[in-house]
Order: sequence, then C-alpha cells, then structure tokens
Amino acid sequence: MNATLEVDTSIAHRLPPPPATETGAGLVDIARVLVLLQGAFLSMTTLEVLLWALFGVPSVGPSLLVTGAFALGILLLAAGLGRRVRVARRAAIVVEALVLLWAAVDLALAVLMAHRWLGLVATITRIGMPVAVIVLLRRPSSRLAFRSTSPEGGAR
Amino acid sequence: MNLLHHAVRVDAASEVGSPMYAITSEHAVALAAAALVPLAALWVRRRARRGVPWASSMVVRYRVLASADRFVAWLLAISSAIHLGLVVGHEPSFLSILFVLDAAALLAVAWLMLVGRRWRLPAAVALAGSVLAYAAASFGGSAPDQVGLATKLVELAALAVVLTPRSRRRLARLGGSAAIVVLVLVTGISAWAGAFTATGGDGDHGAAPPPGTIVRTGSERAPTPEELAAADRFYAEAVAGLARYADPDVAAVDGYQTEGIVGTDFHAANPAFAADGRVFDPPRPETLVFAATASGPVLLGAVYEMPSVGEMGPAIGGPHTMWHAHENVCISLTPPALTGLQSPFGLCPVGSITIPVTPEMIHVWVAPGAPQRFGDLDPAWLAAYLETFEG
Repeated sequence: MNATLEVDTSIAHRLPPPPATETGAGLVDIARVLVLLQGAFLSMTTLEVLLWALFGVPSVGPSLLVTGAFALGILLLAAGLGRRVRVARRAAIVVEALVLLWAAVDLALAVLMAHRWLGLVATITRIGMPVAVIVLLRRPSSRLAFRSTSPEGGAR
Repeated sequence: MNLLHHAVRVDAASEVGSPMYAITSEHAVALAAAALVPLAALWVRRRARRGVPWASSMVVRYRVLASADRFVAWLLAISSAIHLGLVVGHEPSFLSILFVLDAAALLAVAWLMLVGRRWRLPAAVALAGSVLAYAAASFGGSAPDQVGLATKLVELAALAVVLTPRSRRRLARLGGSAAIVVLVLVTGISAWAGAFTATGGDGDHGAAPPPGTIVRTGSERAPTPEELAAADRFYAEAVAGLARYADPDVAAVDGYQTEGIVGTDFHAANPAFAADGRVFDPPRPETLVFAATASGPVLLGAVYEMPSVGEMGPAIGGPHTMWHAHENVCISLTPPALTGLQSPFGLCPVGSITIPVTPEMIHVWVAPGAPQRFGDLDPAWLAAYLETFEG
C-alpha cells in the first residue's frame, strides 16, 4: 500500500517535508480536534452546573447559561475549523487567548493562596491545549489551508 | 473565647484530599514514563542519523505520515508508556495484565501506522476500549486521579483524530464529533462517580475524602476525657450563644447575609466576623447555616472558620472536632456565588475563578437533637427534622 516505505532509509534525515497545503490541513485538523475536546469539556461543566442548580443552588443560573452558551459556541467553532471557515480561525485564536488569560488568573490564585501550580489536567486543558491551538492556527501553512478552495464552494 | 493563639500552620503532609485532584504515588512512575517518550524519539532520530537501519526505517515511515496521523502516533506512544509505567507502579494484579494488554494494543496500532497498514479501525477500537474500561473502573468505585484523567485526555484526543473522516462529508464529521462529546461526558460522569464512591473506601486507593474536601490525617484515635469535656463546654456555649440567631432578622442586624434563604444548606456569611481576628468564638461564628422550610427559615448550626489559608484550627475536642478545608472551589464573579467544584477536566464554569484552597473550617450543629454536634450532619436525620416544620 505504501511504496514510500521502500526508499533508501539512510537518507531519512534528508527527506523533504510534505507539501505545505497537506501540512496546513493536517495542522488545522489537529487544532479542530483540540477545540472540539474543549467544547466537550465545557459541555461536561455545563452538566455539572445544571446538577448544582437542581440540587438547591439556584443562584448559579447565570453561570449555567453562560457556560452552556460557550460550550455550544466552541463546538460550533470546531465545526467552522473543520469546514475551513476563515472567521472561525480568527475567532478560535481570540477565544484561546481569553482561555489563557483566565488560566493566568487561576494560576496566580493557586500560587499566591496555595503555593502550588495548577493540577496536571488543568495545565493540559487550560494552558497546553490553548497554546497548541494558537500555535497551530498561526502557522503560515495553516493560513494557506484556509485560503484553499473548500468543497462547499470556496474559502470564507 | 479567642483561640487564635492556638492556631498553628498546617503541615501539607498531614492533609489529604480527593485523589481526583492529586497524583497518587503509584502513578508517579507512569508520569515519568510519559516524559521518556520524547527522549526515546530523540534517541531514535540520533540513531537514524548515524545510519542505524531500523531507526532510519522508523524515521522514514514516520515522516511519510500526514501531520494529524503523526499527532496520533505521539499520543499512542504516550498513552502506551503511561500504561507500562502503571504496571511498574502498582502491585502485580489482574489490573497489571490489563495495563500490559492496553499498552500492547496501543503500540500495535502505532506499528500498523508506521508500516502503512490499515490502522484506523484498530486504533478506534483500542482507544475507545481504553477510555470505556477506565469509565467502567471508575463507575465500579476506583478513584480517578490526575494521571489517569490526563491519560484519558490523550486517548480522547487521539480518538478524535481517528474518528475524523478523511473526506469532508458533514454527516460523517458530525457523527465522529458527537461520539467524542459523548465519550468525554461518560469519562467525566464516571470520574465523579469514582471519586465519590471511593470516599467509602471501596476504591483501589482506599478511603478518601469527597472531591473538594481536605481533611487532616491522624483522626483515627479516640478523644481523651479532657478533649471531650472541652468539646462539651464549647458546644454548650455555642448553643446558648447562637439561640438568638434562630431569628434571621436578628442575625441580619449582626451582619449575617440572610437575604434569600433557600435550600436546606443555606450559608449566611458574616464578613465582619470573618475579619475580626477572633477564632472559634462560640457566639460569633463566621457563618450561620439555615434551612428554608414551609414554616420559615430554621437555624441548623454554624461554621467557624480560620482567618487565613494554612492555619490549623484548634481541635479542642481532638478527633471529635476535626477541622477541614475545601479545594478547587468554583466561585462566579457575576454575581458572586458558589458554582461548584472544578471538573475532572480542570475547568470551572465560564466566568468563575478557582479558589485552590480555603481556610480551615468546622461545622457545629445546634439544631435540637442533632446526632452529630461537629462535622457532617446525618442527611437522613436532617430530612426527618425538617419534615416537622412542613406541617
């Protein structure tokens, strides 16, 4: 199936990089997956706030609405990245920057109040993933992927 | 009574919280194993540059993969390394065999990728199987920890790529995305279930406090007669001192925030008392606890809090009066309200900040006939007690 496996392996480190368009599309797909996961995590948080509200803390109503709306928005953002909608790329970068900003606030609280870093999972979801998405979407090859024609009739 | 001079700093080693927010000792090796993956990759690359055939072959095969597939290869290697590390960290058991099988399955998928065979279906089966097995273990009472949850994040990310169809068919993409959302929800719900079930001591990692609660260790001994007498004295003073707050209006005059009492566990804080420097003063608790009933608000008890994080509360009754703190509490800013605990995925609701740890506190229950005077109140008794106010 894969004829390239028969190449001279001694030149492994000198192999040319794959075409930029393929690389860009792949990077955008990775970014899309990370954004999709973030949307799913926020959906879980929405469910938690909903349960919190049902078990006698009705004051969380605004939090429930805002978190639910963000979860939906981020899932739509992931869909937009999948369809290579240009505005989704820019919006994703802005949203991830905001996520990082909020994580910085919580990190400051953790360091100042408890003299500790964020937990391992929070470090991945609130710092690692946003940084990865921003880096992936800001790569020149990723921008190229948004300029190429989409099956729906062109880049938006 | 002002017991501030009894306050001492809490030794972190003497506290224990839910494993869900911690890295259990037996999982530390797994984390180290994951950190070795990039080093191993660098080593293979160096061998390839020196012309070692097997390393060169691996590098060539890796380089012909698409970017997203390379990402999956990395995630598979990391998850596999973690599972092998878990074998080292745990005592040999049936679980160890499952860890080895999981690691082998993930490595086999990575090998299929590198040799150019069909790998997506085996990858989907191996990754979904690993995620669902973890969920089943959590539902069964095994407490999740940060390493376990991080591993599931890695596997979910890999699975999300695998389930992304190569074509741009909308329906197929939607199906793949929906599957990931469902798996994330299953993982999250099972993590909560495991964390709470483990508080009963049925989990792999023994009895643990419920998520969000930090307790001191060393409460197993029986209280001494002197400690019991001190606790009795304090309790009598608290009952006498708090009687006047049975009327929420009186409490409000003294500064307690009693507006809008709802639910059966309404905490009315008194910011002035919290800042007065008096500690464990029977008639001046930092918070009152009310329940809303058909007959109006009912005073259940009070919460006494230490002034700052890290200060140990005076356990005058020894193990009879154990203080606790809370961790990873979500507080919304608009409007200020408790919005829950940090989720297994490390998030609070949007607009909420995470309070990493609170000052120590202790509940004192002054409702007549309360079976517990300090600590947690029996919910069955509370329900029966509040029933008497409904008629």
